[in-house]
Amino acid sequence: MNAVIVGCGKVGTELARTLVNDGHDVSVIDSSEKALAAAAEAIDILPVQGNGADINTLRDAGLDKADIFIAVSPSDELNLLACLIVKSTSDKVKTIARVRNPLYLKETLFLRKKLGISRIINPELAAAREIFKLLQYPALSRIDMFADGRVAIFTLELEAHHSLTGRSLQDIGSETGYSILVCAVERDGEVIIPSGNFVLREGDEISVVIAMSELKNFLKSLGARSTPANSCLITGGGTISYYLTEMLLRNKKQVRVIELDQKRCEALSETFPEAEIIHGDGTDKSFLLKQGLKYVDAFIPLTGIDEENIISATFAKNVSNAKAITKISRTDLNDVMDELHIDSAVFPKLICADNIAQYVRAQSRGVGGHVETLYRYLDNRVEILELIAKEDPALTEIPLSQLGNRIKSNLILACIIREGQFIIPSGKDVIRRGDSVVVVTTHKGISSLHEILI
Amino acid sequence: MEIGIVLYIIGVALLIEGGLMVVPGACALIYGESVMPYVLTALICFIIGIAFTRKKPESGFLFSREGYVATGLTWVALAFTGMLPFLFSGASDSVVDAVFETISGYTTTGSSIFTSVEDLPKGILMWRSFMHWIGGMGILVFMLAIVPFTGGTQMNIMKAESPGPSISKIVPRAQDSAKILYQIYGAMTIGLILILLLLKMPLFDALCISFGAAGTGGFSILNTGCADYTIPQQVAITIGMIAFGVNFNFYYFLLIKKLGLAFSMEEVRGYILIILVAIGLISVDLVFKGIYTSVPIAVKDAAFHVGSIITTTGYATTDCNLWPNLSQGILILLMFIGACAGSTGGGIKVSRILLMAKAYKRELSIALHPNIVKKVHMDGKSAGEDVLRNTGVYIFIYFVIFAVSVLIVSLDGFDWTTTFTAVAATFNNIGPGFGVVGTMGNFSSLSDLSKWVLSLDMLIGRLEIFPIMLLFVKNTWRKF
Repeated sequence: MNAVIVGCGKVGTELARTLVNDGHDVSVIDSSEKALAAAAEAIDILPVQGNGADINTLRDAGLDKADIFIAVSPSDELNLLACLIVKSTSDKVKTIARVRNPLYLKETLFLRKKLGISRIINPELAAAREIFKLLQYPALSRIDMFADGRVAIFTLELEAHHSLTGRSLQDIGSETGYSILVCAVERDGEVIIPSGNFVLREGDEISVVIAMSELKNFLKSLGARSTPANSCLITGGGTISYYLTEMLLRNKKQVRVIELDQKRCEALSETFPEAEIIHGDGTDKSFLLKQGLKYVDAFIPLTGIDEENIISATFAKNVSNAKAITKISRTDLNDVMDELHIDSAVFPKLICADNIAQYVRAQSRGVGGHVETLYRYLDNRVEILELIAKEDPALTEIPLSQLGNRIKSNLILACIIREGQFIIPSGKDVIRRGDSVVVVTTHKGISSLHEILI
Repeated sequence: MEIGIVLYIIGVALLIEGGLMVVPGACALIYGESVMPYVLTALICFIIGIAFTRKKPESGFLFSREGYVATGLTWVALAFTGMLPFLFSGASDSVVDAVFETISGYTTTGSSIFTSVEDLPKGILMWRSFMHWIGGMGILVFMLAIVPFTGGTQMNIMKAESPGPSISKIVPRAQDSAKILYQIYGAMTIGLILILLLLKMPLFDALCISFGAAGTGGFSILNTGCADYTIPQQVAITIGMIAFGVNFNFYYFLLIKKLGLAFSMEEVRGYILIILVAIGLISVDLVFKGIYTSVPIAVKDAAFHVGSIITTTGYATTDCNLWPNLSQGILILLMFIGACAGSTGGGIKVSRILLMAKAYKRELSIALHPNIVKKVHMDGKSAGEDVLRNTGVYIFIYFVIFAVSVLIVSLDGFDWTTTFTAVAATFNNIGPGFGVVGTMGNFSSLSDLSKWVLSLDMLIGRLEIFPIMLLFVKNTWRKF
């Protein structure tokens, strides 16, 4: 498909990279030549300098042939205007706008129905949802869904008392009684795609595929916490806190928000009478302890400064058992987060780019796209993809045991989803046309099921 | 410097070159000549190519630096493998001569060291002309078009190999851009071949002449150049040469039916204008000085040579040494101007001349109103300051290299016309100059030193200075 992106910031660049890797043709519009040059040096895009709401610039970027239009410039108004202009030139093109102002966001339905914008993305809301999801399973450092939420893949650090520790992978199935698949392990900084006789150790960071319905019981049998966090301490009362507090309160959780600005405190308190809004400095260690950091279930630093968030989260790990979820605005810190022993980190900009990419993938299904979902794990070293099987004489209807040595190394088929059924594949199983197959691999840029073969 | 990816690219380019040996090989087979020179060359290319590509580099990152170095080294590697057929076939027994001829071929220069091309085997003639064709659009662009690369930074190769002050893609993917360029290029070449065949040119001549005109190379296959072809054939060649000197974006715009964009390209307009003025002046000069009695023939020859020189092809229908001074002067000026950016031609390029002329106009305004804020516009868009800076430095360093080369070549003791135009003709990838190296002469009488210097000049000229010069900079080779 052909995509036009307006805005060459972090989100735009990340999105362009993902879409190009997925096999789409991408043009990027931005007013800054420098930003475009930097992106074009690393990514195979058509950079177009100009204003994203200018019809001539849009035409230069190939609007006539575009299937999808994505406006992620810093200005909500420009994004909406650009989408309107694009929509007025063609009905076929799908438009996506990033809108952050909560005021506009209340009108989402209007924007979509009346203005014909296909999708509104709000990075703060998406980040809040992500944090909320993690709070449901505090033991996990990350969780993602496949196949419309029927299959989950999660990451967890093994502790000494967990029942999997010290077991080899081939024993797990028979001993636990759960059909799970350990598809990637990070040990001592190395990412391993493990085979059957691999023995798990304390401290391994494992990524596991499991049916969503079994997740809770599995965590219980593992000896990890399986109940959601019931009390949350949030520092910083910004937009993400706003959305998160709303979600938590709706689910009857106990929420305490620490905010430095008196006015903002008052505004929050007006909106959320059930929440405890504390006026104070959320980066002050003793103040945090006073606010019950030791006994809270989850600690979520959401201030505007990445470094403060990381430091508070590290402090929290030292003094309490609370699940710490850190918000990080910069996108390039992804790789170093592992070194810092923070439970989970949430990158709103990457989430935003990922969300849009997922939408584009869903759209391209009809026109030859194969990638249904894609997640990058363990510092981008592992890609987990959900691929749709097309008719392929080299692949479909052949028992996997026969395919065995023709499949690339460092790649496993984690599961096959057929008509809603979840299959952990064994040698006898075959891939059928229309199956969606979850593939875990350290190879980058796989875009169709055929490419899993050597 | 990620040397792994650089070696890999050189390897792929050599594999392609080995494959291309099919063309002269087939030709030799048809004419009953020995195919061994081409088979051996292909074998050597394959062996080195496979050795270099056996291990695919892990990080496929091709940043600006790797792009330049890969381009520079690939062209050097091609020069030393492409010369093998000349040696194996016995056409030349000196490495210098073979390298000179090969570089002259790939860089689409067309300067030859052979005194009598008619005595050469047909396979060698075909290889010389075919090098023009592949070198015209660029072998790395060819590689981008046919070899799927992952990683997405191939644009840095295209930038390094394609001529012009600012290279941009015409479609989002570098590979698609390369494909489109080669499709247009191929279609136009086939068109020219067909026209020449229709005008009753023999197939072998039509192929070689078309390859040379398409790449704006200029190796001829007759000792008399193009003089023996009929007038309609000469006119067809003239139009062909001029067409291949046009920025290929022009044809792309025509293809996607954006006529407005195509015809408003300032560079193409400037290029056509320069050609028309030059033809007019030379025709008048030729007729008034009594060199020609027939006006149409004068215009035909003037057009042929103006087209041949400005596109940096270098075909000839007559001995320009006999032309009056004004005409020769105009041709020498055209040598430096060169064709359009994004074409297969060489020289400084019309767009650089236009940019500098506009920058000069801006300097005048600044002198008058010191506080004025003014941008230089090109095709309705403001050209970036870094493009202007790069162009200014480019032209300066261009003349420095030119001057140094002239000094070295002057050691041979030829007259100044020969010395000066020998460098101008090779550095700008034209082919023949004036004097001893004139349209009916050749480069065989130059010393080995001069041939090496001119070979390097051809490479520097074709790759537009930076990819070759960077090879000599210590920092290029550092990891940090």
